Amino acid sequence: MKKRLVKAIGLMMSAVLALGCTACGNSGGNAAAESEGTQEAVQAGKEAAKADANEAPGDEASAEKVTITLWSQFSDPNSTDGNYVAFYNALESIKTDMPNVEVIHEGTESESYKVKLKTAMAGNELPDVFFNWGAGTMKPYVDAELVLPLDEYMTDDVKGRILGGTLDNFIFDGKTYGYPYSVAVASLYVNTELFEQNNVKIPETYDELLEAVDAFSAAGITPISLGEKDLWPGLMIFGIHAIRMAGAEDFNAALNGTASFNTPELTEAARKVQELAARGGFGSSAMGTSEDDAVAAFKQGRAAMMFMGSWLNGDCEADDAAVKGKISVIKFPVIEGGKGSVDEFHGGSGETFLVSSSCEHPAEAAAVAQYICEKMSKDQYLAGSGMPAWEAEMGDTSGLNRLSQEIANLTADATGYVYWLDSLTGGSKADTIMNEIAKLIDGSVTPEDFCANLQTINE
Amino acid sequence: MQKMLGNKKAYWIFVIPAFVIYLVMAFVPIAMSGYYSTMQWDGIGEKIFIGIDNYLKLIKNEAFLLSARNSLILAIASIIGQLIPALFFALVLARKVKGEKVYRTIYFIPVLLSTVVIGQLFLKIYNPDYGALNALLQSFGFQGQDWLGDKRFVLASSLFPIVWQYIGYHMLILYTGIKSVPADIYEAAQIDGANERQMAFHVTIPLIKSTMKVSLTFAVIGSLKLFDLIWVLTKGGPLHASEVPSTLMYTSIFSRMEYGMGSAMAIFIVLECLFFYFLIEKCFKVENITY
Repeated sequence: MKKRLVKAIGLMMSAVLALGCTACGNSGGNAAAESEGTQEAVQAGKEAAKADANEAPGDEASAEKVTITLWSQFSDPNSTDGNYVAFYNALESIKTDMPNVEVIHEGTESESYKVKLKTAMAGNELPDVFFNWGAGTMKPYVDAELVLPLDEYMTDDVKGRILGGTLDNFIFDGKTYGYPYSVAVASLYVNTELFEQNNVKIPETYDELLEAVDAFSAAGITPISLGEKDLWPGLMIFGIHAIRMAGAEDFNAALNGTASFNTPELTEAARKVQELAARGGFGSSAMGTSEDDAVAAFKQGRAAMMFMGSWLNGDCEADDAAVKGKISVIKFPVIEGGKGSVDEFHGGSGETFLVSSSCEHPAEAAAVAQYICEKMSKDQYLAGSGMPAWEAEMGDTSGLNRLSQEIANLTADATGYVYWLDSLTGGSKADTIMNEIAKLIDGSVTPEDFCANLQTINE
Repeated sequence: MQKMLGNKKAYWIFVIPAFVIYLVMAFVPIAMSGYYSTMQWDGIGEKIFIGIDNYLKLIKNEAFLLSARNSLILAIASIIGQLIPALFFALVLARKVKGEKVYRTIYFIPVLLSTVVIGQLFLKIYNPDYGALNALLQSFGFQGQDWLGDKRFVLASSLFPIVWQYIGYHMLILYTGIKSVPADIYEAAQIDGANERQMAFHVTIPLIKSTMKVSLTFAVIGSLKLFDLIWVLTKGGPLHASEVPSTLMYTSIFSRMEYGMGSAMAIFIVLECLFFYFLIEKCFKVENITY
């Protein structure tokens, strides 16, 4: 017994010793590298070394290459989503267009991406360049000085190519933190075939919209497809009602905290949303439907309308969509008595790539961010996702998504925008708005209380 | 064995590795959560010390109280819905019924399936448009319901798969407990003229009390910290009707970016679990039976 014990102890000690040795070895290596700079540099250095090892040894050109780490929510290289296609195009062409940098990309699916990014931020382990949303979502990062202002890299020439207004959501205290790459706009998607079959007029006024809702409800077709289980789709419904009732300017003011939500117009907007829901506007099961299911219902022709951002274009025109070629986009009708005009839109430019402030090669990182955004701006437009945010020669647009062209025509005379409510407000404010809207649609809060509850985010 | 425990040096050498791992992996994170729970912190910027304000807000937070209530309902549902059928199946199976192994495997299959798979399965069953449940109801002339979208039904609908999934798990625990009861005790009971039912209630159940306590603890603690199935099925919605503390903690931290508040919820879950653990320990003071 005792002998065995001694043996066991001996074995364990040697194991501990071995572990200790490897640990020492690691930290020794790190210490040497750390004297050169931040943890990121170590990471970059390691990756560069790895990349070098993969290529032919002794290749001097690759040794001078600057390695830039890049994180995005574009996780699937084979996706047909316009933004994904454009991003992977840019990632491919940057190899030839910017030979001095090597971009190491890591894509993570949207929801996990948000979690991953927050974890990396808390641990101060950000990549050099990373995808992010603008406005309120970005603000905590700016406040914590985790991201780099890009003004010094934004020459007049570059600025000249960026379309007006698209930078608004990336500017804090006069400093610009990101380049735009798309302008996404929400519009009302209508299934023209269902409208014809049921002899319903495509709505031009809000009353006609309600008539259409009644007609489709009676015919057993979901009037407006809404995936309220995911909460954010409800933001768009309330958003456009608020824009139509209060006008883009006043609604923006309330969202920015410079005006109150307790206005007769916003209360009326809330009431309209609630009435629409009570009337069966979103079918009988919107609260338990996910966005994916809502899109599927619309794609399969089981729902007559959908109010959604322009990223829906690709889905509607996909080869597997039963509604391919039957969808049309229209402006959300004006509400009588409202202050908003039909040319005010929900959406805008708000997705970008940011540069980490602890980045080792800020100039190269900024150049990568700029390159990707400018390239994506054109390609995502051609792929049928959103409007471009940069001036560009579009070349042959005959293959362009039909709906994208329709939206481009709709927004040609746009007079005002309100950006997505969740990205605009960010964090707990966005969560509060989403949950309040869910209550509103469910009918468990009065429009007056709803506005009062929204006002709490401004206090 | 006595000699081993008597040797203090050996005792510590064997305990320390596990102890260190436990300390680093379990105790430190809990302590960190306790520290964060006294802060107002968005996870990125500055931490502001606010004492117990997060806890005071927590007990006034309607959604949180609802989630705590839901988790207690789940715990009770688990005890009734899991342990009773599990005990029944275990008793029957352990009496050498024909096809014992086959049944044992069948009952255990739900435990082996990934929670996400089960979640997706039930999402399809509950779907108001094409779900099997509504189709069944309609074929009997009843009206279909939006099982996961209606706040009246959502809690029951989401608790069902959770309870159902682990029946096999508890069955297996209890089954092994029953199997370890020596056969001669049953023989003695048989000679005394006991029938199957009497043997189950007067021999088996009293003898497997300690195994039943293990099952009970797992069922209760598992219910209190449940996250996965609720997240897949409803994300706590609609309107927090199916919220449990863990899902609310997740949204607090990752959607609302309120790390302090989320940590306070985490601490609440830990304390709640500990409380029920000790409660069960106290109520079920059983001696360990060795044969």
